[in-house]
Amino acid sequence: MVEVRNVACGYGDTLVLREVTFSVERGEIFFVVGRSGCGKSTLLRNLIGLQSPLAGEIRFDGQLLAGAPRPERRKLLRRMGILYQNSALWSTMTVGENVALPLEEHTRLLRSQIRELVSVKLGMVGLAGVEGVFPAELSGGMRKRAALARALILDPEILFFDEPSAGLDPVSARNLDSLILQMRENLGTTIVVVSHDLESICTVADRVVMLGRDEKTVIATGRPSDLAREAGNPHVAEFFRGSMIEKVREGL
Amino acid sequence: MDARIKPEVREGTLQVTVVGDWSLERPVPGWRDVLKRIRGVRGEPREVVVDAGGIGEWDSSLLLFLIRAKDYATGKGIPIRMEGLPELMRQLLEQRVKGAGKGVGPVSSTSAKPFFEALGRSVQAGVLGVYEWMAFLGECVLGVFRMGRRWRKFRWADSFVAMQQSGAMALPIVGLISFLVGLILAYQAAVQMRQYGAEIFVANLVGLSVVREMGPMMTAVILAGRTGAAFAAQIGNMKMNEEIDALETLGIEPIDFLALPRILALVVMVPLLTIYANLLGVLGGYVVGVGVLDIASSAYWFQSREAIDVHDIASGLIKSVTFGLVIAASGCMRGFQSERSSAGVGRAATSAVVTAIFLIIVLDAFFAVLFEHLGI
Repeated sequence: MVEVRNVACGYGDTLVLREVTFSVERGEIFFVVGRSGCGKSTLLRNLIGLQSPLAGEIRFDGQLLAGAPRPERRKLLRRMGILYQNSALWSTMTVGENVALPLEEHTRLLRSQIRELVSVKLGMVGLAGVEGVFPAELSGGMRKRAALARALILDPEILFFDEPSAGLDPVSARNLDSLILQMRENLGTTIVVVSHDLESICTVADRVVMLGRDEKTVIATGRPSDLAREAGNPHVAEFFRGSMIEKVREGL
Repeated sequence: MDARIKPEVREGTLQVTVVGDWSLERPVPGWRDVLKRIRGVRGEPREVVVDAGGIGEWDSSLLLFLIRAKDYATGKGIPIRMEGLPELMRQLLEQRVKGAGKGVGPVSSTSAKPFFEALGRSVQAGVLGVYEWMAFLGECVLGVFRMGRRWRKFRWADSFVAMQQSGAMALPIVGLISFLVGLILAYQAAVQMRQYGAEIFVANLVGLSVVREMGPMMTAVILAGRTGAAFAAQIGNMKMNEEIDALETLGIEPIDFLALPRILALVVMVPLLTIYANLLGVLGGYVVGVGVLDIASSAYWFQSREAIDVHDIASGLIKSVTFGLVIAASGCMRGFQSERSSAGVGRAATSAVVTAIFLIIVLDAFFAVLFEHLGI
């Protein structure tokens, strides 16, 4: 589904990551993990086309996003859904309008049909009936879920999550985790998550790629339980030496 | 007990005994006091010993003192020994040595550059600024073409909201300022005209100045400060909050979505507000003319109508359309360029106002020359 080959990324003269190579299979829940400042978010910005890689290429089903002409780019972006760290709901619009906007822009559906779909998607994330509320009136967790409804509105084949548990209490964070699992089960969506939340990684991820802050590249790839068990790299071992380690060993 | 120090120099060793409770909330001795007290002693010390065995309570004030002591010894190139230090204090001091030189201190943003480098950089920034402007306007023109094809998707509602906020809600301030400008112009003119007994020509002077220059200009300047800054702040905040990223990754052009409705709003509203400003400016002159200079009301109106040609009004309105464009475009452009921080949004708002006012004046000068050549 996603092929990342020898990608280098950064800002201007600053190189954040180099020679990053991995692939994400269809229907997989894939985590990009690492300590703060290792370039996870930069990699995500490259994956979703907000930045172009300095070298290497990122392909979706064989198609390049960076440098694609506008119509193709629009088509590719339509197939993706993104949940931003700060939710990034448009603050001047109600939740309903937020969720509806992608449909208004990309489809020729009637207003009544759009309204129907919006309420279905909001119901899916457990937020039925908040269409008329402004994002500022929602709690952090609800805002995240509203943003998720917006990300889901065009039935994306692939969903990107930027630090989904950031700013959430543990219970809301776990609820979001189970929502991620549900989406894969029910919709077959491919899911790429950028996170450093060890509990999410251990309970949700099928596969993990770990970025090293000092190495500036991938330092480990594999299933979280394998990484936790046989970490060759001391940084990887250190990262996984958390409270969940026992659970992972038991194969959770 | 208050914090005290007892420095003494014995056989080349500077021994400083530290006693009492060290607190940031009370005055404590500094290393300078140590140096003052040993000033009379002959010969430089070859070693420093700080004995903190007798201290009571302590906080960071003691740490500061010890850091100064260490710096003093390092500066002189002599060894320093600390005795009786609490373990935590020892660790803090060691950490400070490790952290030093890693560039963790505040970086001065106003470091002086050589003259020519500074000059070169500002010229470069100026050229880049012009380029950015052209690029942004080009994007907007492309956006207009895109919208031409899918005008149903245009955010009319956003545009109407912007019109209401920048137009209807600006009526009181634009009206008041225009009225006062008309009034001031009339007073200034009256002083000169009275010398020749030509008070009636105050109507000509006020009318023409307001309709050709002051009306469009004052409206534009007010809107640059009021609306241009608001646009920059709104868009800058959206950028900080990843809302612009969200638009982009949903395949929605931020320019079409955010800039075009706002530009349309101001291109429509600035001329309308200018007409209103013209009326109130002339009214300001009328109040002075009739109330202070004792010109007959009908005479003032007649004189004004004779003086102001439809060309004069049109020239002001043509200018005001371009003013609306540059105010909205500056606001939106600076918003899009804003850094992702609250300070960055503030700078974007300031910069939007400065850019807009600068461009308004430049355009006004350009139109003055143009209209002169065209004979308007």
